[in-house]
Amino acid sequence: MKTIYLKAIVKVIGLVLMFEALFMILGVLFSIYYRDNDIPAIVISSLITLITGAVLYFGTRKINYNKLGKREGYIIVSLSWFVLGAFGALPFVISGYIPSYTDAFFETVSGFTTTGSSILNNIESLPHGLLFWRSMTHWLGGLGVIVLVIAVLPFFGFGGMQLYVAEVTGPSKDKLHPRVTTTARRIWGVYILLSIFLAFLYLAGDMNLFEALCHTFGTMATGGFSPKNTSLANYSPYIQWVTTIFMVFAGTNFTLFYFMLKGKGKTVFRNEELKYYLSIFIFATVILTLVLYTGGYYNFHDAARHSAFQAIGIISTTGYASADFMVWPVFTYTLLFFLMFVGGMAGSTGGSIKIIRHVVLIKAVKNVIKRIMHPNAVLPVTYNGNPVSQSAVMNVVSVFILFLITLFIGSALLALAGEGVVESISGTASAVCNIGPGLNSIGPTGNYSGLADFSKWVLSVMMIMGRLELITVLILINPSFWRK
Amino acid sequence: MSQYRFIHLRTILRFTGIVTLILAGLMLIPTIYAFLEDERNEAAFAFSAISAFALGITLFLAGEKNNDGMNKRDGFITIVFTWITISICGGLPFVLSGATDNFGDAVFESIAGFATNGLSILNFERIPYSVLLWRGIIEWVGGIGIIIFIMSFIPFFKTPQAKIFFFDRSDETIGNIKTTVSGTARRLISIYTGFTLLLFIILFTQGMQIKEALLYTLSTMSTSGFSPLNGNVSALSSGALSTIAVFMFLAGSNLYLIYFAIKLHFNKILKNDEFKWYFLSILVPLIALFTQYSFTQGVVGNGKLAGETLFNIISIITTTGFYIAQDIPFLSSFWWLVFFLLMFLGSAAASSGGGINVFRQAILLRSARRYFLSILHPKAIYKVRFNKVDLDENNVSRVMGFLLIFLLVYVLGILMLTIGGHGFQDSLAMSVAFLSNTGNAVRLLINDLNMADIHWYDKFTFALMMLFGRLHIIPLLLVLSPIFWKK
Repeated sequence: MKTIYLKAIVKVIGLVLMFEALFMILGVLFSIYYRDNDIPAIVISSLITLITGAVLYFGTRKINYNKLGKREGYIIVSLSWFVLGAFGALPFVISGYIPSYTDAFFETVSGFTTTGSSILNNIESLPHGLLFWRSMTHWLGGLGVIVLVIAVLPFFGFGGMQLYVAEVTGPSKDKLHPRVTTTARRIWGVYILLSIFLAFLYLAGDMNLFEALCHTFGTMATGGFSPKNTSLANYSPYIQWVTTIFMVFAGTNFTLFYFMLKGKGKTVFRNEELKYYLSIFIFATVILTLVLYTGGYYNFHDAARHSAFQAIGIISTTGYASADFMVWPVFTYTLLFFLMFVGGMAGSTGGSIKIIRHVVLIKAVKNVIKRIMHPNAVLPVTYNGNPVSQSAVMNVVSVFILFLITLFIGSALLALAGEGVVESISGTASAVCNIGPGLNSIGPTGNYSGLADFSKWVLSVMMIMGRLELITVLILINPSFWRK
Repeated sequence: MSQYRFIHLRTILRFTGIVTLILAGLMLIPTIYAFLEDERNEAAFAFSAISAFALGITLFLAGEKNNDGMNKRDGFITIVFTWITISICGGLPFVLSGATDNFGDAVFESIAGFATNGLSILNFERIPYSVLLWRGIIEWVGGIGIIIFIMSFIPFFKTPQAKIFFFDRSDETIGNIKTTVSGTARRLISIYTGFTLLLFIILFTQGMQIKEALLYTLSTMSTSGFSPLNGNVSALSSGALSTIAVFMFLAGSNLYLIYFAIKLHFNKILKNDEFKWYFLSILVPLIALFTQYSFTQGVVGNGKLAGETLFNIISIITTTGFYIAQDIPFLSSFWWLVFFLLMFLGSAAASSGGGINVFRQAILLRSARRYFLSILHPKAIYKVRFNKVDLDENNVSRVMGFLLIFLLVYVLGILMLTIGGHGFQDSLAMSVAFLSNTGNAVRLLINDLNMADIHWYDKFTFALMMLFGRLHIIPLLLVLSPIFWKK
């Protein structure tokens, strides 16, 4: 193997930073409008980021992009998320609204990974520019994830473009354009269109432009930051229903919308992953509604609304809350806890294990059982009618196992830092799955401010690992990665 | 009969009959004891024995001997039939002697016993010893595994096709295991019995009373962890505790390896992958826990604590369930999590322990490692090896299937427990404690579990999970699935 092409990595990171600086400055518009005092902090941070980025980018000589290999890809991807978090935290620290750098880094990483876990006790005390940047990180993270899924993940043998773009469609004539950039641009198009649409729907409700944009970012990126202390609990049922529907959309494979727009509805409704996704959502909603309604917690409409909202909030890995589920029966939040591991569809901005992997796992298990009765039968796992190779199935299982191991190690580290059992487990799960809230003190009405600094760093790393489907980061730890 | 038959019902009945007859025979032990000690419940046992005998002989006579025609489906149905029969028959003495209030409780007690789960709803203060002895006998039988009995009796299990039981007591791990399963089974049974006698003698010479020694012996060798104080053994002498710890370790290791030990082939043991993992999965947690404790409490070299922790770790990993009361897991979430994880791991194959089992963990981790390698070197082909044998993909995927189903049942168990009103954290621990049949040691992790006044719904949930766990999930799941009944 060749040595790692360091120059290229530096150059790309520089580029990423310059983009970040550009978006960071946008928050100033709201600060000016609301006459907030955070303008200097944002401008300074943006400048620092821009200058650093420019130095890195222009400081390195011209590179040959064709020499960028897989290994450089993994390093760039993992590194950029850390760097984005490191510089994105600056406005919070410099303005003094989040004095601890640990907290600011946690908050920003939580944003970029579209997690939505917050350490802020009083969100509304922050100036608008900072809050806007905070929500903006979600939306940028969402953009980044789309590129990641299309350009990098295919190398991991599964969950990348081959499977979710090319094969969702069945016959080859339906194939989305196979070239990476074109695909990315189309998915971005869908993402941006849906965002604009959602923002208008919010404006039609009882939100002002600032709130509408922040919540749009949070919803479409399956993030979960809200500029309000009570998340979406105090908004009208109309807003909550709109959010519910768009959380469903945000967890859906965006290429399906593209096909929809092209009038290929058939391919969309034939899609297996979509069927599972919607079934899980509806099933969870019905169960929660029944429990809450029969338990006398709400009237029927409220029960249905809160159930649907919480269910898709968790499944799509958004993590918005319309009610405090910690005051519901134990069964309901236990169910919600396990829904964390479901995740959105591949090709969405949702995180976690993802529906497609569950579908493959379920089918593989079915085959194992079938083979006990019929040892000689040849039973390939099929997805959308196409066979999935045995090694692809194995890869999915391996990701699943790595997921469990990460979950345990993360929980153990949190426990070592002195967090409670439930906080350790649910906090780690929430971070790795990029959800947002956990259980008990880090539940929907709580936040992560009470955790030890060490725990916050662990969770930050977990969020990035989860967002990059674990393997992108884990492979860097593997010694044979660095061997020449 | 030469034509194809879907199910050989009469052969199944015959086998179930034989097992029931054995059970009836075993009931004579407490009957005689009760008679000699004048406990006034010999009638209950005698009546149970007669009923079991009558049922057994009926089934036996209704059945027919058919050595050739058994197929896989029959094997699985036999397991289920046998479990139903023995659970009911084994419960008879409990209800007839008045040890439990109703028949449902008796069956629960019986299932817990056969599943080698130490959780019990018996009230020790008013229960005669003969009933406790019966419970011990049930565990002991459950421990060596009804499956080994089946392996020895049903012709199908003597054929190479018996590899189906990779999901069960036997496994793919044991290097050069003897070709006939029934030979293996016989050997395992004799080792098991030998160790039982040895443990009994040692405990007795260490000054334990004969009745107590017998109960602890049966509970330890079967890895069930049933004891008069609901698994809490803090009061025992340190000598007895060390003995029990050693024998728990032996009971949880691959009994077949012990056969090598007896033959003095020690290098075979040291080279054995499974033994290495088993040993490490006790050592690593011990070091981790002790280090954490020393760092936070500033105490180093606390021998008593180390001993107690080692005992608890061995007890949990072998899924026995005896425990020495330690408050630390309540105070330190790290300890809680480590004990919690240990409950999943379980012991070696061909032991009486439950859980995921050592060889499966090894295979799963190695296949995950292979995934890394295949990303870095896409063109190379890697095989998952165990005990220096390349495993074929079917075996690997079977192990993965097991893990996934185990986790699925685990999650469903948690949901069922929370419906029953248990808390989130308690349910996490209880579900795995039932599934791996660790049983009583769960009391280290939860606040209070008073078995005396649990709801019928809870009993049902507990019993179901114990059964799933003991049968290593697949047979029960298979019989319940439509695939099984398709021609």
